[in-house]
Amino acid sequence: MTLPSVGAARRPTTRYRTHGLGTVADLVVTDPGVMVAASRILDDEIRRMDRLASRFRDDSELAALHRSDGRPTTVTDDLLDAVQTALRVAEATDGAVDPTVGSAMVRLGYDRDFAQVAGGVGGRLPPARPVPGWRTVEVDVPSGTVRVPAGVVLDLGASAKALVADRVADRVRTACGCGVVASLGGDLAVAGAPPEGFSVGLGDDCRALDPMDPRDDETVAVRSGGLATSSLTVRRWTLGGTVVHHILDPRTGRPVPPVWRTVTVCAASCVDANAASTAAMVLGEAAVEWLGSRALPARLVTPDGRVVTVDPWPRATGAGDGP
Amino acid sequence: MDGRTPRTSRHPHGHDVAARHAGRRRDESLGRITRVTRRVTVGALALAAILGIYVSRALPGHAATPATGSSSPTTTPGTGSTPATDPATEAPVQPTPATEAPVQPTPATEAPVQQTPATVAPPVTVPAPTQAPARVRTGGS
Repeated sequence: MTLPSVGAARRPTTRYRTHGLGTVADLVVTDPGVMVAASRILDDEIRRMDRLASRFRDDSELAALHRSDGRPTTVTDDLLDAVQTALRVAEATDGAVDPTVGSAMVRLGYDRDFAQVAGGVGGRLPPARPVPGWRTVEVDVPSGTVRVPAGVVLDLGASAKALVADRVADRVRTACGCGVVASLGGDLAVAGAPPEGFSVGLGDDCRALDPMDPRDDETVAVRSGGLATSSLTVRRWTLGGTVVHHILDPRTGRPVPPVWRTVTVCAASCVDANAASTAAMVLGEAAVEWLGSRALPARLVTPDGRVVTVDPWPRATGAGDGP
Repeated sequence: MDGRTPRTSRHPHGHDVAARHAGRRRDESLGRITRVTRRVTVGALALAAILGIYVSRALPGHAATPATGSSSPTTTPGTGSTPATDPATEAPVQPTPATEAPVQPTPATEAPVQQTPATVAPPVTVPAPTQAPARVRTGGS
């Protein structure tokens, strides 16, 4: 679908949308002529990651790793990269974002595709218990092996989607030589952007199709790197009547309390932005200082709609700037 | 019988004793040579290691970078024409007396010494306010 040239971006822009990894994926390029090639790159990366890191596919490489019973297992370079990325994120966030939350997620009933969980699952909220911890996972790069202790389930979901966005943006820019935004579930990577930057609508839910959707309460231009949003308003379900969601605190294995409704962070890459926005959710009130100390521009929204920004997040210019 | 007794040494085993003494002296000499050779070798290795470190620090682009991976050793690419495994850039070899216990190699799965811990990197360019309609939307998913 080719959209007319709008606003500051004078070059015609093309947008492509597909579904994968349990969410929507968007691609915007500055050169309509490369759209077919660019969309193939996006589809290819989504397929590869799904085959690699899905918790819900018995034939995924991650599922095979979980069946290895704690033995060092030779994995593909792609899975090695995905696991390393998740561990790096865990280290960079001081363990606030931990890939070993998979077991806790299973205890909350999120053990299959979300469409089958959304209607609610039976059971009761398990007692608070720390997750095994990312340091229990061992990666040996020279031998290409990963060791996951028996019983530990990795959830690479968030960092894997962000990794796909970074890879797609990089591949499209290299292969097609144009500006590109690749977005997986609202976590986006920008490469070779036009000088004015790509405009991104901020909201609680990334799935709106209409770019002019009035639900956008702010729009920002992103020139490079990545931007990601974590929100408690989506991916919620009931567990025996108790509402739970998908952002877990590794210290308790339970959903984080709703200090923030939505957090958006801009960083050097989509993986880093995703790490920071998720960590902010886990850190709660301490997130503002944590983000500020790392010079990460961020926009945090409380459950009642109050907006808190962390410099150098830009001042809002449009309507609905928040209370 | 001519009445003479066979000529014998005053010390029946004199030859053996002399041979043993000669052998001992030879062994001691060889021992001294061995010790000297060992010291020279250890000294040469130490000197080579020190020179290697000096040269690697003196020449830009020839530096070993400790691994920065999260849980396994990795190499840093792009360090000029010198491979990451260049002996001159590896950790200095400490001359070790033969009586010392050998240095145990670190298992590959242990966390390496990290020079720069993993961080969440800030953006090169910060987002800018705009009135332009959104091309994509960020949000939870």
